[in-house]
Amino acid sequence: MVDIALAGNPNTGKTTLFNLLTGSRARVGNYPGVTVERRSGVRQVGDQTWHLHDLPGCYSLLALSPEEEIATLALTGGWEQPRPACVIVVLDASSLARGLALLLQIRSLQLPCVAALNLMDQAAAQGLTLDVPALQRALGVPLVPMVAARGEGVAALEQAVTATLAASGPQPPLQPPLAWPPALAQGLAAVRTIPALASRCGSEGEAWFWLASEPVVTERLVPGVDAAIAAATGAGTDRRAALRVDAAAARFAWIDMLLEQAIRRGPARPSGSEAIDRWALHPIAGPALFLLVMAALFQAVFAGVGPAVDAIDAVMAALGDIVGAALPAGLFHDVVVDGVLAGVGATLVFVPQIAVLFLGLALLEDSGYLARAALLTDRLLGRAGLPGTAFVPLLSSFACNVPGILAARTLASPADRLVTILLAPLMSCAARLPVYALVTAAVFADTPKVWGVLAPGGLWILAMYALGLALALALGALLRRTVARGARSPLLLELPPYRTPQARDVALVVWRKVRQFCVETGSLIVALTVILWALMTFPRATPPAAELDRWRQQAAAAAVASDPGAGAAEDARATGVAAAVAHRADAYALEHSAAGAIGKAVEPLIAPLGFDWRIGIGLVGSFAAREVLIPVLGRVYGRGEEEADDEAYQGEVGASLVRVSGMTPLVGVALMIFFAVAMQCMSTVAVIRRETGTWRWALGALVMFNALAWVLAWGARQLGLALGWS
Amino acid sequence: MTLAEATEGTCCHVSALDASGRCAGRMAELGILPGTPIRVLRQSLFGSAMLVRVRDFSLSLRRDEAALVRIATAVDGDG
Repeated sequence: MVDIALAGNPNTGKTTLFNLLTGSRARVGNYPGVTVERRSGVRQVGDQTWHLHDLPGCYSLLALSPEEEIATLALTGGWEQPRPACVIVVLDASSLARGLALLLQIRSLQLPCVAALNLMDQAAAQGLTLDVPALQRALGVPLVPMVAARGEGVAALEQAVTATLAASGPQPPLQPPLAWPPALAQGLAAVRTIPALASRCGSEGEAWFWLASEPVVTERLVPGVDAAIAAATGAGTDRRAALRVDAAAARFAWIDMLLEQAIRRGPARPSGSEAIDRWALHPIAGPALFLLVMAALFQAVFAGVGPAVDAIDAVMAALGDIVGAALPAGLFHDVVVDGVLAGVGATLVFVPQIAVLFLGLALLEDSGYLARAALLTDRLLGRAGLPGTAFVPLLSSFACNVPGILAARTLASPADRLVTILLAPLMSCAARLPVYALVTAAVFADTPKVWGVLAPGGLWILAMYALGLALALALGALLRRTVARGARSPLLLELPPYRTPQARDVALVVWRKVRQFCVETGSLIVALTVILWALMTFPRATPPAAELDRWRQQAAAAAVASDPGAGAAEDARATGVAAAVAHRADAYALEHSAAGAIGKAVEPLIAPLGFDWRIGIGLVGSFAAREVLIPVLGRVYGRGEEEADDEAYQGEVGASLVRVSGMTPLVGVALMIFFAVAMQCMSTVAVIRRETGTWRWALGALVMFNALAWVLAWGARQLGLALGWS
Repeated sequence: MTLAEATEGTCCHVSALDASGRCAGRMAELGILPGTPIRVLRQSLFGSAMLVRVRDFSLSLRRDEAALVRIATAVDGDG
């Protein structure tokens, strides 16, 4: 088992190459000691098994964000772990300079390298001719021309890596050697004399890392080392920052000289990308195009997934029936069917929406448009103190807050990461939509259309999304001024040329993200659903016989009234009566369970918002998964239990909300506002805890958002009442 | 003159990089170094950003980042 790392700048086709080499057999695991995922796969080459690790793209080993830090730690062995046996450095043949700068950095760590000269087709399209043997001679590293997207060059790459793994002896030197300015050379030599770094400065590259890194980084790795470096080199922080620039200058001088000889440029061709950008970055057309793309994406996410969701519902229902029939009736049966399977269903039902959103994001990223979107949103997000690159985590949060929060790792500034993580819950996730739909259908169905065309229900739902966004901007600005101060992440954003997305890469990214969601978030939702089931089942309560009789009579009378024909089958009517009685008994049991007690206990707290204890039980339920509000309310109202997105069922629950709990349009709006702002999803709390490292922010967010939700819902109700609504 | 003040279409080269700036090190590692040719593609994009062509790629940066880069055009020799 040989460890091989894939490193390189972003946008070089590194992940395409990784997918090519490992296929769908790639697994997502964790780096030792760090709760950050790493993509690893296996490839059998001859009698060797290669363990390939796809490192995050980076421009330099001096990392700017936690994501880039992963690459550095993997290549330096985190100063504790073994380093990869070989590094495949992926280069963009059409844009070689800074890729070579990274290659030089990695090479200077004395790591065996093979350079994959990818995107040769792009280079050819731009009229570039590369003298590969000359490059290889100068770099002292095998260079393999490839077009990973077409699968070209894999055999040659395998050969080169096998040869490199088998080779022994020192690395061939650079031809000509790299010339450091004297001050820099002295600094490097001085760093290598420091005792604390004795085991970590075996090579010049490592000495450069310690000399050029910012104190906050070096201190985290070896406390007290900053003073030692300052003493040994006689250079303070500013001087070392200048030495870092000098080192880069020396590398690029060498690279420029090499590329001068090794690259022939044909006549300048007009760039298709620049033409597209004339529109994509146009002051008016640009934002318009962006909004169009976003609208199309959201339309696909929310409207296009109907058949898939129906299919999943059908499968889960069938599974529930099969398992339910297979298990003997009793406690275990109930836990499995109503707890575990219900939780699995609650997770799976959102997979289509999450998959579509990640598909959209992957297409945007692969095509190159995502960078333009980040550039477009940089100013707006700047109002919230965030960089344009925070756009991706926030957008992802509209499907599910959890993957959105995980995506914040790409941001450089810790303050930006914290704020993005805390704002993610305000992006209305897919689970809130059934609740919005339920409420608007219940109270706004008969309201006349605005301007004769726009349905008020739809407008209110749009308003909830807008509310989340507006609150996010305001809260972000506030957080950045108070608890999350610190520099904003730099923009310094490369705009890659537009490219056709690769179907296989996009599919793999979606598959991995969906699998991660199901396994990680899903297991928590299942656990919470089981707990919720227990709260709603115990203590057990059966209705007194007198009540049961009364219900039977009422149900029988209703059955006759609705279908008085003598031809109606007695059996069917009796079944209907039995079902109605069973539902009402279930509602009785729910009312007297622990969940019911909680609902009644919180009623005084939510009464000012216009909610009653029944809605209170529903709110308790929504802490497992937000859409669970609907089946819980259904049971409370004696409607039985169906899927949250079953429209007929929603209609029944909505009708009961109005009739039994007295929900008026105003209360409906208050309920929607509550769901838009409150943090009910325990999965979100858990992932905030994981990403921020302490409970402080997770619990703080929980308290803050729920309090804010209460205040806003109450405020909305007061405002409505003052305006004459009821 | 700094890059932040350059007009669209300017073809110039970097005369100095202010190493005390927060992201100066990263800009240097991207290849923005004294002597490097830079072409300003767009200025004041959406209020705060600009787009430049440096070496062989396109980079967008904010005004405060661009202000770290002193430039000289072909005409006048000093920045």
